[in-house]
Amino acid sequence: MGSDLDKKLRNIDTWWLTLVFVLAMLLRITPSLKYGLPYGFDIYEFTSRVLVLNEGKPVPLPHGPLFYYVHLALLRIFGYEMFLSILTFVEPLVFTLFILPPYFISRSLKISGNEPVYTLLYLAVINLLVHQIGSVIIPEGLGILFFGLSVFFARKALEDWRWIYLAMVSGFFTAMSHHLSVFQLFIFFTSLFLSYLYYYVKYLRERGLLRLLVLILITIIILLASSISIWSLSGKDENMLMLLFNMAIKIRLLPVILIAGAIFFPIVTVEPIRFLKKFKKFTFKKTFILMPIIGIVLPSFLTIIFHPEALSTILWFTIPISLGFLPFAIYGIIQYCSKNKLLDSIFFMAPLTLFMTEAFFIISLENYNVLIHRLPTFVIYFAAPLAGYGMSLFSKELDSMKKEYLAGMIIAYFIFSLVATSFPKPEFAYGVRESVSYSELKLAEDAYTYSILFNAKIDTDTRLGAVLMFVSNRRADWMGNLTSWFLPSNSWLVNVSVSGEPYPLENSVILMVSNSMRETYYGRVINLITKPSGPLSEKAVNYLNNYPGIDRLEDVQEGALYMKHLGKS
Amino acid sequence: MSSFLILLFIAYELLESPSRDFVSMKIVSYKEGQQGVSITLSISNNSSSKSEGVLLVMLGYADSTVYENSTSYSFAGFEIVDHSVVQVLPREEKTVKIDLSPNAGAKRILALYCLNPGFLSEINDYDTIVVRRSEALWVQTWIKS
Repeated sequence: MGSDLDKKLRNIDTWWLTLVFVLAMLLRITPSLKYGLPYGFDIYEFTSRVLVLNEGKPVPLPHGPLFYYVHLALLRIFGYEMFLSILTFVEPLVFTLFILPPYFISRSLKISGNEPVYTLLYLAVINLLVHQIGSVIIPEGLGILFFGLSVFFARKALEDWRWIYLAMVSGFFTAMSHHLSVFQLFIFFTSLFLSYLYYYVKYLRERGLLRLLVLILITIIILLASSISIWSLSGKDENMLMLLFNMAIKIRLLPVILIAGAIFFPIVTVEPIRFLKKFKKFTFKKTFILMPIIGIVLPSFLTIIFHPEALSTILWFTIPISLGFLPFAIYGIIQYCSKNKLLDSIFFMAPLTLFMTEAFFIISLENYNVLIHRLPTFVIYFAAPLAGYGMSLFSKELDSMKKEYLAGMIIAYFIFSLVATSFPKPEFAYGVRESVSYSELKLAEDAYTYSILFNAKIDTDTRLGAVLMFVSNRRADWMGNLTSWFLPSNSWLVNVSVSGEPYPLENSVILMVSNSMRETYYGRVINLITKPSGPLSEKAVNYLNNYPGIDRLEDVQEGALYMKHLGKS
Repeated sequence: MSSFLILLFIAYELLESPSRDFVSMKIVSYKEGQQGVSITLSISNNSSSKSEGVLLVMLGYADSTVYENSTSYSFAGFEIVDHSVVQVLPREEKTVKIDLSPNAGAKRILALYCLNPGFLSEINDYDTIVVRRSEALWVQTWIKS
């Protein structure tokens, strides 16, 4: 009887897992089905790197070579025409896989009441802020997959040290895939090393732990060596790892900060975990009440003071995450730490503490605080098994059917709202429209044809510029400055979008303007994230429509081409 | 319930998919001489259904202005010099040649293709022509001399 029941329960589990995994796949492929084209930003990586590699020319590979060479292989196998379809449909499917490592971590947790399927559900639906959920075909996807695998293998190494060898291999692949993922992995292993060293010195002088410490140190060295080896493949100022390094060596007090951090970090990590053990009865209700203050009120207050224009974006993302993810994650952390051995709790608390410290450090840097935009991804991804655990406990602690129904509806709403943030309209995504329409594709093709006819350059934003380079097989003379992350762009569209004041157009320049750039449509002229840009105002559009000598060459409803009439001064 | 809501959400997103069909218009060639101006336009129907609309050719004078917002275009200070109904079959690219005799005061030539065939009869005020953005395409070129 018992074995039959077990079998039935296992079957139910399998069905749930399959359902959640299919949901994850459907969510990721929805934008591809909806628009039928890849997202603009993602095309940028292929046109500026993969297509250059295909021509046999040298090109910086800032994210790490693996991503680019995998795509080069796809390009060579399927050809140029098929490549677009591959990017559109196959990659979202491939990158559904990156939700699996945290699920396996959740399964490996030896705690009662944990339902790993909740972790999978979170990762299936939560917006990891890596562009939109369906378009994680950029290098982050591959980097996060290997980052997750490395964390999973490191977790397994707590039980059997041999697993650390797989973490080393996976760490190497992370370095080959994505610069920021390997940086976060480096932070992860460093936090473990320091905290376990403190734990070893103060609490448990055991041979097994010492061996693990030595192996973690070797893993850190391998990660550093792999990262340094790919620096030679990166552009001078494109590799964020190198940027952080350059920035760090300019801070005079850095050695003092690092030494002080290495001493105090393990203390502020390990000792509070011991303190948390006293909060076994800390209720979910208290956590839930605290979270909106930390997750909504504080970020909104800071945004209103520093960047009021970004308030709608901040609210769009922080409300669902603060209500649907954070309370369960914090509750899961408190309960996990209070019920488990210190050694196990350190595994989660040390990296999370260092990730948060890193976030505050980066945001305080004047010229580099833009790098903060990727950090929430790693925090959410790493905390997902504990959020799943928090949700498991919450659902088990309800003591009546009525409460269970009510909670089920509330959780369903939270999950739904997390999904909804994955498909933001431009007004909620700082003016960024990531999808490309077929009419914009035609506009780009015709802009290229006109540019050959008139021997003209093309001025457009990064989003459509990437499309232009793709449709022209990288032959178009685009004015967008993509060779540097920090040198200012100098094109009419960028300058006018920033100043709001139109000025005379140069001769022999075709302007490719799309509704996605216009203030009226909550859009903006997309520039690289490190460079300034703004929306195209009505004043600028009126200037283009009415200034004598500026022809409107084409209209595709979603956008238009403008050019100064040849021969006119 | 979460799964059901997510599936509903996916269905909504897919149902809300933007149409892949569109019509475009562009200037293919432009010549200016003693006999007047000659423009060749190309109207392309990138959809699976027939497109029928009115093509207006207008001359803009010194005080002519085009204004656009998120819902409409308005053309003020223009004179309609020619109009015709143009049908474009699915996936067809139709070329339209326009010849205009010299006009001393004209500063620009504007071609407006309105996808509403009954558009002309709906115009109340020829001094300011207002057309819905969703059913209009327009191109223009400025006269050199």
